[in-house]
Amino acid sequence: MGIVVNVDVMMARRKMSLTELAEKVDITMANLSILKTGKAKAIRFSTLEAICAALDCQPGDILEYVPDVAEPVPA
Amino acid sequence: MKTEDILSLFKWLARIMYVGAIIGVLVQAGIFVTNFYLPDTPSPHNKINIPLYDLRIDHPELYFQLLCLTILLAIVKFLLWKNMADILGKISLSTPFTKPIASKLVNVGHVLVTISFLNFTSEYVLQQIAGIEGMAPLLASSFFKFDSDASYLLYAGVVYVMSQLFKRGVELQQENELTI
Repeated sequence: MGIVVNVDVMMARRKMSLTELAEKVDITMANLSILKTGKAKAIRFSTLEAICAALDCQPGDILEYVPDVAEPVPA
Repeated sequence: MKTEDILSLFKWLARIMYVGAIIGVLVQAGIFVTNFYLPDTPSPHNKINIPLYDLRIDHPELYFQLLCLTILLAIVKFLLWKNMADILGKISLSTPFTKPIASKLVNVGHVLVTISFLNFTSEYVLQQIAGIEGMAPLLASSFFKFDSDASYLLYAGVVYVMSQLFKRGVELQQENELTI
């Protein structure tokens, strides 16, 4: 899995819509959608800072590391 | 002169060369077709008669080798200009690194290697023809002049390096576009 983006979870907790967050962070809906769906390859510190400020949370609340699960070896 | 103007100029030049290459294929094919009906084939560039008829009758294997190589070379040169016209038509300075252009550049590299190979082979066939008596007008004709030096191989190498850089550019541009 690697890095999982939990922006939608934080948005639900703060009861904030995608449009509202996009306005507060000053990024386009398209870019926010790329971030939300996990298609983004990288995130700038400035964007992360703006999202954390808008959602009043820590970077760890938005980004999560999930290790890849290795397939069990058949006996 | 702005980069856009230079690109636009090259775009038109490539289109003109593309049309010229189509005419080239037709002229090359036409020379060989007329040779089947006219014993004396006039050279399109200088006022000498190319003894293609004699070559066809006396040495058909050399004649057909020359015919195939000349027409193949004209077709491959046409493909080169088609690719160039496509690249210059599609390129955009705001997002220059795209997959279609990268693959077209790879194609140009392959076409240049093919041209180089065909030139070397054609020169070899001409050397065989040079040994035949009465073939001097054919060799003197500008119609059968091949660039048998390694220049096309050098161009192919340069274009290959460019295509690899372009492929890396495509990756970097995609990464940049997906950085939020």
